[in-house]
Amino acid sequence: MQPCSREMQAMNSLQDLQINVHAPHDDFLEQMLSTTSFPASSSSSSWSDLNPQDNNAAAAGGVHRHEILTFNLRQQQQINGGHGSNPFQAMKMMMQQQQQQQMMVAGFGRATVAATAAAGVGTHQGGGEGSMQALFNSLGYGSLHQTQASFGSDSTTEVNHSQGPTAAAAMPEKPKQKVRARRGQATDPHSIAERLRRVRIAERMKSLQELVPNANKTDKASMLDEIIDYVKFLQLQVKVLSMSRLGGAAAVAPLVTDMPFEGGGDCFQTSANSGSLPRNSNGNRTPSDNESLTVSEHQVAKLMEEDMGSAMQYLQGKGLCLMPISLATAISTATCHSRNPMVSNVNTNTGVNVSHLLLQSSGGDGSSSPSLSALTVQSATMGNGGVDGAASVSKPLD
Amino acid sequence: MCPHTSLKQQFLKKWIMGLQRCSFSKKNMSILERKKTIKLSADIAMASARNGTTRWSRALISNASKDGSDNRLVQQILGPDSNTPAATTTNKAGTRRASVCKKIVKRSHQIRRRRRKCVAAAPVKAVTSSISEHLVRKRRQVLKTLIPGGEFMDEICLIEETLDYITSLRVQVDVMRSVASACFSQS
Repeated sequence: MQPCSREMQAMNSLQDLQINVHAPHDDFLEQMLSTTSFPASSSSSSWSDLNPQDNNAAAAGGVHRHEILTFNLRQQQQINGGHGSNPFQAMKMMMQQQQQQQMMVAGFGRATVAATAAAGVGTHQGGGEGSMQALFNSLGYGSLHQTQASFGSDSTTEVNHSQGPTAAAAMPEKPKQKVRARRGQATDPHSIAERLRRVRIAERMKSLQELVPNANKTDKASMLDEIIDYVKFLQLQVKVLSMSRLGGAAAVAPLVTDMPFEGGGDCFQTSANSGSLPRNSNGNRTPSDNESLTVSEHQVAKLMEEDMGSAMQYLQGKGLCLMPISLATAISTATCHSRNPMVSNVNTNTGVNVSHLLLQSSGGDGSSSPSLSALTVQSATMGNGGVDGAASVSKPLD
Repeated sequence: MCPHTSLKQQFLKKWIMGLQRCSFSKKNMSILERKKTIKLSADIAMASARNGTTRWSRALISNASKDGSDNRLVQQILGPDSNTPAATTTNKAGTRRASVCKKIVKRSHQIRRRRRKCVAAAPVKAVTSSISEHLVRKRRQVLKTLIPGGEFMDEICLIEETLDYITSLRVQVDVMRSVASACFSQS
């Protein structure tokens, strides 16, 4: 019964990391052991028996995590019943369960579950198997780091987690009298509220992830970056679309702004629809620069016909951007800086009457610098497919 | 995610109504003015489509109605529903007070947590986590400036409002773009 008692404690250990407790010293554990049975075959009765005990024991916050823990434990029982004490199979099951749990429980629940699961199995199999202990510790640490990286964690609970497996490994067999509550967990209403709050935030971030394109980042900071860029981009689109409704030649000069893209070069390509460009092919000006531009222009034009996204990426890789002709003329006539040296036009000869401009980024660096000082704009006077083309530029994942 | 067509239709209806109303008033407007009115009517239509259920919509409407010249437009679009400005101002004040209180409580928690941190945590971990928290906080500040009325929201509300705001912005963009293409294809 010793191993079973230890595992029970591991299961209840949202409050308790020192897992070497004798059953008679804990009323709760007595209840557990008396009422529940651990058959090798899974029975829903034990599940339901475990549940209310759990709900009574661990105060509030994240009930589903308890359920996951009990589920975890039940699987352990099954394993142990089925295979005696085959440590590696148990380990495999544990890792699978951890993965499952990682999918099920968002954010911080992971750390607690993984740590306690690791600790539980570790103590069960005794401290003798040093390699496995090391593995479990690393597992605990791995999940810890992951959760810390993911959502800016509360370090007290993490510290406890890190201490947990090592402590369990250090004294596997020694019976300890006292049950020490994990610091800041479940006894402190503030920490419970904190945990709840974090869980809710994680849920909402997940739903935001589906909404925002390019949202495969696990890091909270970069996720917020993406969100910010997307919101800015949408607002800009609304602004420009409201100008495009005017149907006249637009002085789109106020659109040129400095958009500092924080966090990584793979940012949103903000393309605004300034639809008020004249349809007549205004821009047949020869490039005022050397021939090297024409080649890239033709390439870009070709790319544009097939896929706007890659065209824009290609442009960005060269440090170029698109802008409407009227704006470029305004800039070139108004300012003769060396910062904006080259203005050239590209007129695609497709049936779609598109007029673009290429302008070198005033930053001067040809690489994909995040500091494009001119927006990439694109005329929305493209015909049928063109508007969708503009859309595809702005949302590369569409 | 595909926004509901009902939302699009609602937005379109209100926007067209607002455009009609404001185009009757002035015949010769400069480009910028026209752009402003168009954008404003679109924004207000978008916000009113939410019927005051979300905070950003209320903040948007209250910001618009604060300005005297746009007030007329706001009233026209909102129709007889004239009590919303009052509701929004009280709501903002209430949320501001609530957020201030929350900030105080949060700061006390942070102080307590920091004390615990110094005792227990390895110094490396504390530094890295504080750096990440700092980064996240900075970005959250930026997000607050973007979302209308976002300065008075706490973190959870901010993310919810962002969700809603993004969907409505997308609806707005889609509708405007389709209208624009329709106009241009005809001419």
